[in-house]
Amino acid sequence: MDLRRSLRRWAYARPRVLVTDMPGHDVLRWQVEAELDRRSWAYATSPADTDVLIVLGEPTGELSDAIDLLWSQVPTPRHTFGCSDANFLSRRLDQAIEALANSTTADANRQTEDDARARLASAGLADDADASSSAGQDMGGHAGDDMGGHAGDDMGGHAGQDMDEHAGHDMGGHAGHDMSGEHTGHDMGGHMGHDMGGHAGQDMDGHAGHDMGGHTGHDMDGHAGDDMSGEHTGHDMGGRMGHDMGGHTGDDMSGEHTGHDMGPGHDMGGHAGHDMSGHMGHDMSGPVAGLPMAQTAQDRDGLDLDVLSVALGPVLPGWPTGLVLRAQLQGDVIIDAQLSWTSGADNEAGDIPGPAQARALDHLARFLVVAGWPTQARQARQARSGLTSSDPAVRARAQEAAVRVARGVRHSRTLAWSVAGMGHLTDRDPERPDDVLARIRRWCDIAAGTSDVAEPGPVALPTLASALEGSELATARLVVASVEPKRALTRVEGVRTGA
Amino acid sequence: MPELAADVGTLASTWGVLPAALVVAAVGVLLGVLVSAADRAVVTGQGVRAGVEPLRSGMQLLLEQRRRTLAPDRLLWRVGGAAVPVVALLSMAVVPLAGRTLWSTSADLVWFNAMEALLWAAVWLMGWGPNAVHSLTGGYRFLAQGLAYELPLMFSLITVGVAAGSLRSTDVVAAQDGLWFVVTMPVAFVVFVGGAAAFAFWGPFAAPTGADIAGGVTSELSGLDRLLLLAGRAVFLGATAAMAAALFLGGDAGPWLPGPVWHLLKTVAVVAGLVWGGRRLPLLRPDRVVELAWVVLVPLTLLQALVVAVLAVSGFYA
Repeated sequence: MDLRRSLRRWAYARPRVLVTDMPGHDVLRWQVEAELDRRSWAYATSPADTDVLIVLGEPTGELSDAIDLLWSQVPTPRHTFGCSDANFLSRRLDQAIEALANSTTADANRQTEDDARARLASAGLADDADASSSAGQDMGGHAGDDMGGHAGDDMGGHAGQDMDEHAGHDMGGHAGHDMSGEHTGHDMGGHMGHDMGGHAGQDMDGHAGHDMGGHTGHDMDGHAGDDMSGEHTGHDMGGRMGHDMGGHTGDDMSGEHTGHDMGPGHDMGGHAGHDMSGHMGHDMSGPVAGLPMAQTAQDRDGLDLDVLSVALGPVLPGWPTGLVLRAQLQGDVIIDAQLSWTSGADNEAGDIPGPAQARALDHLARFLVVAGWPTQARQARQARSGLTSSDPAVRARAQEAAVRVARGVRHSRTLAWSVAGMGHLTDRDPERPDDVLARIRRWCDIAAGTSDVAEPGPVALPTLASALEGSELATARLVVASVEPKRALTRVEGVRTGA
Repeated sequence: MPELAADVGTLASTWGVLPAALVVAAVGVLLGVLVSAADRAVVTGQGVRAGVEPLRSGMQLLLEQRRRTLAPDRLLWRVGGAAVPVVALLSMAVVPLAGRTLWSTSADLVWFNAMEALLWAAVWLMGWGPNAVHSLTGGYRFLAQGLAYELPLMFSLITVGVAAGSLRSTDVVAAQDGLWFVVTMPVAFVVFVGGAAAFAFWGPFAAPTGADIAGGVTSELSGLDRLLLLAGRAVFLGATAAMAAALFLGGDAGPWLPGPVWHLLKTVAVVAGLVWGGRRLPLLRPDRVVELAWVVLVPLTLLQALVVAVLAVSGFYA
């Protein structure tokens, strides 16, 4: 046993870490990242890639729900801790290794199952549809429409994943829920609708008056085995995305069935009172797809292409935590972009402390992560950490490193070739270009600390969103990473007038 | 020069098919570890201490829970994931080790190219399978990137075949007796090594697994599935470096040291050059790479093939 444990300790000695920071915790994040870089630990790019989740500050509101959901998607063994200051940081990271090495599969199962139960309960009881809907956004960016897809993913990630390897997980625990009565008139669209799929055999009768319209996440095949015939004429099924009845991916809950028919012909939107008896009798032993199908619409060249509603954020690599981009996606082209802050991330938590030069380096580092330049990103982070040191020798070295990074990025012809001409926020003016490249070069100038360029002000979300319209996903990410998005407009201005 | 092939047996005929295949697979895995370690050393700035990290990551992924997603196309997803390491190891079959390949056909170069082309399907299926936006976007990006690298890569392989007068790997090595091919076909060499980075979606060509799409085709992978994909990619890079050393740098030719040592040294040099050069660049966006490939690289590799063809006709390589 000791040998196995030391082997596990060795295997987990360099875990991959996902750091989420609440507003106003930038300096703490810098300290954490400095320690992670010192230990050569890798940064996770998605929940599936995560071993340790570090939450900086106290998450509130929707952001808290989003982080819960994200955590639910992290594969075991896993460890998480919250952090409001850098005290004992090193010890807590060491403890993370211990926790990963000690966690046994049995523990992990119990934990996962508990989470799944808690989630099902909260999904059923949540009153605020909006809150539960944003809880569904996650880093994975699942193909389903915003909420529905993500919450559904949660089912897949939890209950579902146990089906093969850990027979002990009993989906039957959620079977036989009687949803009638209590849930009459309940708005199910925003409520992680396909969590219902786990409630195999639930009795949905008497739910007339459910408003299912407009809730893109809801689809009826989440109700495997429900008695849907006859009683449900009152359902308004005409939603924005249409409620597809065709995604019978849930039919075969053991997951072997690959005959997932994505054809548009299955879109039943607006077919209120449809006889659904033909969709009954599904095998009910596993996760159910609650994902709406992609619809088609004309793309920018006038061709009919699939349109997918997606939500990016609130946690992504190199992305301002709490920012959510809701958009329609055709291929990887964004249309109808809308940006917002999730509640809990919208407050301007005072000025970010730390020198302007370090802030610029932080900004560069995050941009370089998005631009796929990990070596320069690491050097920018290291320079940033060194600048805040109390040792003058370290600061001097950091200053040299900062100049080196700034010069490397500023003069990179490859980067210029790759990002030039995208993301104009103002009208094109050849004299004063305002594209991604120009903004990044400005951050470089500040980061070098050799010139006194003014820090560019934050950009209002509607301005930013309009710049994302019609761009590819990659471009949109670069554009967002090149600016500082403005948090809660009114409150920020209130602070300024007060000062 | 087909007569050259006659006196060179294959590893399979010497050691038996199974032992030879195991040895070749083991060499492939070791090359993958080498590539992975070199890459880690550069990215994390750890230096030689990163040597053990690929093994550590591999162990960790073996202990990790596998990810499930909602309504995945599981069959195709798993097929794609398993295909990446399998085709990577199959491509090793025509890489000369100690002067011999696992098996030898009159179309070794085509075999190598075919294994690499199968990645189109494998990576796309990886993107399609989990039913997730970022993953699917990664799959799309790989296809776009494929449109860019595939033709120049094929032209560079054809150039080698033209000069050697054979598509058999061992013949190509033998044909470089007097002069390494890299001297007369530098463009083909650079395109071949760059193409390896592109089809292995690594470094500046890692858009299909970009951080901006949360890891793309890897965004929904954990545990064994992630290990298979990442290991397959590393093995492919290692195999291609060994192939580049054989096709352009004279394989195991060299003074004093035994042949296999020379081939290993040349392979390590190619890996070092690839990692060092590749990590100096930011991500190259597939849409821009396509333009570069068709406007610049396709004409350039064709010109290279023309020059080599004229040299071959004039008896330069005889």
